[in-house]
Amino acid sequence: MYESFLSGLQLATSFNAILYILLGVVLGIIFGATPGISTTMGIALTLPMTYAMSLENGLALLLGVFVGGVSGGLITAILINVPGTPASIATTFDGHPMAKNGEAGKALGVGLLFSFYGGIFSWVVLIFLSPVLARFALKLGPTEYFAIALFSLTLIASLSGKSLLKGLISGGLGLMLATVGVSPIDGFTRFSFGSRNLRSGFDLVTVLIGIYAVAEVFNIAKNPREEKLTVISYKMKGFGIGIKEFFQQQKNALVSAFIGTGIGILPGLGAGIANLVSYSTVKSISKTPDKFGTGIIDGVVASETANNATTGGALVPLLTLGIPGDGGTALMMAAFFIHGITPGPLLFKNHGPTIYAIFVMLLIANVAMIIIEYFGMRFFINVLKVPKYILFPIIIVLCTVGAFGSNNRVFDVYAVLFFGVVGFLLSNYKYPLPPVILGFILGDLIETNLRRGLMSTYDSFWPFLTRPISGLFLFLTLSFMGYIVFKAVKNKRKIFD
Amino acid sequence: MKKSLEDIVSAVTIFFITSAYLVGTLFIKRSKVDNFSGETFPRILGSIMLVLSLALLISASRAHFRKKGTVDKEKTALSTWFEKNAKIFQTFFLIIVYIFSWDYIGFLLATILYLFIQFLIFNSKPIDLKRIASFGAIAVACSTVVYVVFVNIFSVPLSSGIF
Repeated sequence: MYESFLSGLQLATSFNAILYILLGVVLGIIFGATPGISTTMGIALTLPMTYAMSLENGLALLLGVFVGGVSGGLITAILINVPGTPASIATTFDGHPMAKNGEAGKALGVGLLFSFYGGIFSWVVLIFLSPVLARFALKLGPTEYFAIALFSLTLIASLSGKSLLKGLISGGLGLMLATVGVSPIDGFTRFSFGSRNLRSGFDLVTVLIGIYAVAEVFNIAKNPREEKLTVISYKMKGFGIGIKEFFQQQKNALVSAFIGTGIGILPGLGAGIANLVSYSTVKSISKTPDKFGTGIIDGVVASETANNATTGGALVPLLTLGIPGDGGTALMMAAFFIHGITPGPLLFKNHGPTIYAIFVMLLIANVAMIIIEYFGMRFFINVLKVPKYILFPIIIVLCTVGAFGSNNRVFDVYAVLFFGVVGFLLSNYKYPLPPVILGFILGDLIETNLRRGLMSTYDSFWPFLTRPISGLFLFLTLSFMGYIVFKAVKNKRKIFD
Repeated sequence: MKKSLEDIVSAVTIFFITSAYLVGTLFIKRSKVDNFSGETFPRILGSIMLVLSLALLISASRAHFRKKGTVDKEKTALSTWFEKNAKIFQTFFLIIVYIFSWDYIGFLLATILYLFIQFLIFNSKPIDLKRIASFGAIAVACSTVVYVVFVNIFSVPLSSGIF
């Protein structure tokens, strides 16, 4: 273990790795601060750059983008009242009123400081929780894996959109896409229509780039009109708060960090949900809830602590179970696949140095984020002035190059366009996209473990229900769906709208 | 388009895609050893999707006909719809032509042309000579940077075409 840690430390602190983390953080903040480019889309655009890198250097770049991207949204949220990413929606509630009240510098400083706080909190949780979970995960068999994967998919399908039915259909479409190619275990070809390219199935990178990046460009094509941005001027002096005020925010920050990390660990939810849940929770436990929305730092603390706390949390299920916590970690999963490594509990056993390198790199990325964002604030604001009609065509070029580079074949470029159209149509018809991605990623895991489980139980599904862990997760799956339907009926809402 | 009508259209589309998917499972070879073979999971999945799309179709139809009397019956002509979404179609076909042209004129030239035309499509401000020149300069600069970076630094073998 000690040797693995030293090797990991060496990998993470090499000149190249640190350079890539810094580059990643800068790119991440730019992506995060630019309205219309989400953190996930930013990682999708950066992923092709990692093809020729070692796994550790590639992860250094992606982790930098991930951490920088989640935090970068606060700049536009506070100064323009437009969240750069969904992770900073709640930051606008109090951050922008603070800016209008002449406290823009303080809002930015507090947002940055507590973004760092949330990131470090979740980092601590990651390094202590993930080895324990990985040891536990090693004892799981196919029945348990099937149940956990099914639970994860149901969770995201149920929570990521307004409609349970559309969420489930999205997840199902992802599973259907995953069945294209060679079937697990017996190796028969499915849905290839005689095409040699389809025989190996769709590449994860092409699906991710198409659905997260190309689809967004079509959305821009639908409404390419530029909105004039009015940036509020600011003056930053330190982080804008004293030690006393910092400690007064501890309760809020801790609650938000727990919420952010917890939501990060749950598959598929991520920072976009965490900041809103945290904001409403902190408001509900506050002694002065009526002041929320008028421009108090409590609101900025709640949102920014929670969204950055998802970064470490989202890595927990990816590293321990091979199930991505959100869109960003789904792309990191692709980076593992590019290098022929499958994330999961065996990663801790067989690739110890890589795991320790990830831990150290995440810490460096958080430190780099607060320094770079603090000193580079004016540069990032200037980047916002690049018009969308220039930015998005360049994104298309990067997407096509990225798709081509995954396997050096033009088929993948057409596939990216196909998935871009699919993503555009689905999002326009109000179908959530994260379940499609998770369905595609979990499809193979679900089918393989279902078949392996059935082989070990002589084709009986009963042991899936009677074994404690698989039974528990299948029970949770059904209970959770039952609860959502019940809640919808109780609230006299239409379940399917 | 009204939301319930959109749901009906999407539910019907998914129903037909799923039906085609289920038909496709008939062409998958069956294992002689396993009861749960390569086509079983897609069949289960397809059946569930069929039920889900029908459920959506029924609920959306109910919502549509319940509100029918109260909704605005404004209809959009097909030509207006095409006009409204013209930039999406232009972008889609431009990307297809762009990818197709890689092998013939090479990545660099294809990208310069693509970017220049796409800038013009997305641009909503009045076009003058200065703007056209700036679009051209940005297209050439960006294409060259992407080509050089990906070919020389990231070792992606992009097509050189006529060069």
